[in-house]
Amino acid sequence: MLFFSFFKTLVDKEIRVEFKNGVEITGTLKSIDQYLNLKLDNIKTDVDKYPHLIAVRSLFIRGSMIRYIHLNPVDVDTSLLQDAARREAIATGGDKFAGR
Amino acid sequence: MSQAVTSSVSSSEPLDLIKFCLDEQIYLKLRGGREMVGRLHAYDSHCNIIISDAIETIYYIDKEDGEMKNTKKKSDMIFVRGDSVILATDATNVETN
Amino acid sequence: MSFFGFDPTGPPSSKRNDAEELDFDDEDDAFNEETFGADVTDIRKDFDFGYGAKPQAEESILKPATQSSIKPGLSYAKAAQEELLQPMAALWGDSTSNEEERKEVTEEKDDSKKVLSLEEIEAKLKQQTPSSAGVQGTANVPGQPPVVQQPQQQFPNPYMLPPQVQQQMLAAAVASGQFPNMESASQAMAQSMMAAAAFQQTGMMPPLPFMNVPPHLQQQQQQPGQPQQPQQQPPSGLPQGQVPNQPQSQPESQQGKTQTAGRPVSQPLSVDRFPPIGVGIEETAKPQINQQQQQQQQQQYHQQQHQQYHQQQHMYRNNNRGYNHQQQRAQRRDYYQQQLQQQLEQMSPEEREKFTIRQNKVSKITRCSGFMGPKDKDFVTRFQLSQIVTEDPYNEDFYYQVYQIVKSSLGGATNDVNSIAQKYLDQSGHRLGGRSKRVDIALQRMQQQVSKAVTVAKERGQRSSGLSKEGALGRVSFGTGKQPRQQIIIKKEEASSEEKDDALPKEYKFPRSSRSFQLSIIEDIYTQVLKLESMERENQTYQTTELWKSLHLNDKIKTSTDEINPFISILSFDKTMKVFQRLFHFLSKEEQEQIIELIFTHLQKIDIVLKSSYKNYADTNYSIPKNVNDKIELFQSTIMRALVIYIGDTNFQQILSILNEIISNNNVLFLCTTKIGCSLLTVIISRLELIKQEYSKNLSAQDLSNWSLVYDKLFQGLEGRLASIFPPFFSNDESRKVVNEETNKNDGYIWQFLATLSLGGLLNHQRIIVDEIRNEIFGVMSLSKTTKEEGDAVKAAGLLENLNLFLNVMGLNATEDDISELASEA
Repeated sequence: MLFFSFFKTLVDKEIRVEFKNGVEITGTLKSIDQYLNLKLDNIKTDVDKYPHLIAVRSLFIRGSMIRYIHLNPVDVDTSLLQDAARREAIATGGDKFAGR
Repeated sequence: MSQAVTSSVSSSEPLDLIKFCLDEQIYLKLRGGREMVGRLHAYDSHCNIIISDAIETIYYIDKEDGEMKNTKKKSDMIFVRGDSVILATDATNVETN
Repeated sequence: MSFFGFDPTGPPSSKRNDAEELDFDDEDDAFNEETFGADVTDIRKDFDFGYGAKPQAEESILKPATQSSIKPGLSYAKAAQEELLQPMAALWGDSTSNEEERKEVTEEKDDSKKVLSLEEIEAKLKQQTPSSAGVQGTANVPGQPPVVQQPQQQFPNPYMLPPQVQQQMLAAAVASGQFPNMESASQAMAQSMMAAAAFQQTGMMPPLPFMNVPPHLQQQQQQPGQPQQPQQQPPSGLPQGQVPNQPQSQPESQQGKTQTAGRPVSQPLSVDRFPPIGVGIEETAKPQINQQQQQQQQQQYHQQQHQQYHQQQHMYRNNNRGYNHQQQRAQRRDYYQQQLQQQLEQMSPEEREKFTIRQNKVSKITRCSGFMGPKDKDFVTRFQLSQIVTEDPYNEDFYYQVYQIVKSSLGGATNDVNSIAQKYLDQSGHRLGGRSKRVDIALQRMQQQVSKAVTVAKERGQRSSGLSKEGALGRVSFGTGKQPRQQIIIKKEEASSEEKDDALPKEYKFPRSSRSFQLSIIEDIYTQVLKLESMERENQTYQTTELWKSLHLNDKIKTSTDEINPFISILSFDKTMKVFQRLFHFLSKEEQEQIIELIFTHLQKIDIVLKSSYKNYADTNYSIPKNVNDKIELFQSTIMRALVIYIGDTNFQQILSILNEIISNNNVLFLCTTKIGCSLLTVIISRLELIKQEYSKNLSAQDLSNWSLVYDKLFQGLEGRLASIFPPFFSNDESRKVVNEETNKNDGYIWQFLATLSLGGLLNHQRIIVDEIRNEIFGVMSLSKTTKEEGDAVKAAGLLENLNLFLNVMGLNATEDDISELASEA
């Protein structure tokens, strides 16, 4: 749930998604689910490369198609993120936090 | 005083090796002849990873002279989906060229 | 609620006439192929809401259905609406949700048309065996969506019934006198059998509820006179809610006549066969009740009535399975086209043109709208919610929760149910046409759903832990909402205790001098700190022994040249610095003392202190690498800050002993070539001086003499080499001066150090200091002069200011040109 939780904080932020087939799409993240499927609005792409996407304003991306997502560093609280990753590791490692 | 000097510390699971790299430089080998080096900020059991100040190296065979070349790309903050990850290790373990 | 912000309950105004064709091939969606594969028409097969059998069953009916004859001019809008509402009940399948849906339906329903009260039906349903819950779920009284008020036609289609039920029906049908003879009844029956066979061809089990029917019927037959559903029996002679076989049996017989074996399932449509459009099945049947039901024996009536009831449920199911879906959509479309024609005729040409353009636009956008009804959406929403919500947001949604708190000054209130609902509505673009009332309702319902989902999640509890099973055919892994299926499952070792170390494979062990060992210590510390923080947050009592152990303070690492403490060795990692204050906070006063002492004693062995000395970089024009500078800054803002705070509330004797430790265990001159060392010494000396001057009466003569002893020791370490404190890039001594990117940074910390050193010393100390750094002093003055002449008065003043920090201590003041006694007012 770490990355789902993480990407929820990026809703309404601009991200650039790089697909496994090389296509890159920039857009505003509108929605995310636990499979990291995305919904993007205000799509921007390299029109010369992908003319078929010229009219696409908004799209759904199946999570498994994604290779990278480029983020804006100011949207990311790295120390919190590291703590979250550690917590996740502890939680999945069997140790429970207090109160669980 | 508490432990014998010769004893060593163990990690109980492989993913701990990634955990050790949190906030340190990590090296990733990725599908499609790609490598990535950068500071690790998050990972999960799917090997999804977030790296900052990442340098991605893409290796390819030049069609004209048949030699292996590479291009490098930089990204300030990047999420790498786990299913592209082949290998992850402490960047100090990898000779950089 | 629509994806596009259109009201999906409104009529789709597509002009397409080919009702047989499904709307799936949306050529605008360039991604369909990539996302779902090229075979787009197969999409429906892939939809599986966790009730694997049903979509398949749906598939089997769908094709024949699309070929069925459709009589134009019929409005099925209402039927479609209702039909849309129903599948969710079946899919959701649990009685609570059905209950809720029923209630919702009650609200929506036009009461004047209601025949059997919902409470009655509900009570009736509850009387039935629990095993038929699924059937009950589908037996909702259909709701009436607000927008469409068109009359509707209900299609009973019993073709899906399994043989046993068919038999029961047949018997009942014949008994009821609906069929003239056994032959026509069995014809209908044969038809049903074929349908059942077709059903089984799909290789799927018939939906569970069917299996529940026969025992019921049997029971009914055995006790024919016993009224099983008293609630359903109306007080008057005419049972309102009762449904005779007529509507079912008739189409059945007709089906038998019109259909061929190759097309086992088809939809007979005939307006006059059916009563005028009602709200639901019960009502549909009403006229026939009048004609026939009264003639029937009471026993028969009971039996049939029960049977009918089940049949209806099945019919509902069948309708729901998507069979009617596109058909009814098409019908609806036809109807609205007719309406449209009428409208158009009444318009002026311009109006008509505008209207057409608009209509085209709308139809393009809404081509697929209305495909899901409100209930479908509710179901999806609830399904999504059930995946999202958690009983423990702080742990399972840590990043998001804390990030929101950090980002918003509102803080705190983010994890309550209402805000999840609100956020979900916001994020999902969940709108109800902008009508504020409806938004409220949507929010309320969402809140209910969230709280329900939370309850379910709580009840589910720890059950979700088993994510993989190993069987004879290998490992099977499952995905859950909380943890999508993993491509690779790494088997976890059992939590290893210290004794088990030897049993571990070699590759799990790190030599103690390795980087991995250091990193493992750090992560250990983090684990302990996080656990403690978690306990602290929940106001639990905690013990820090584990944390203390994880620090390895009394441990030693042997390296080739030296022995080093593991804790000191990890101090230079960014993440150790970052966690330092957090761990420091958990330690007792004694433990804190121990750590501080350790750090000061080993100051010079700390990697970053070592690296921050300018002497390391003589080969590279003394430029300090950026990563080292970053680390120095981090060290100052974390560990050094903690040290300074600690020194700030420690007594004179302790600080003195710390200073003594530093001097005895480190090369003071070397420390002074580092910014960190210089700054730390400055803090310590100035604190000692401050205490000495402000609280001297609390100090014994012994203390003061100790202080002067330690000072002498310190001064001895520096004497004769004081000029080397200045890094070449800050030096203004022409013989040492080096210019690099550091030069323009602030050298104030050096002058501060010299100032405190002078402050602590006697006059002869001060003389030595001034003497040794004479070149620097005059260098600064001349630099200041030239800088001022070059026009940068601010920088010139800054240079002098730093110099005067030092000179003022001795009662001197420098200008660009000369040094004078400090003015009398000072």
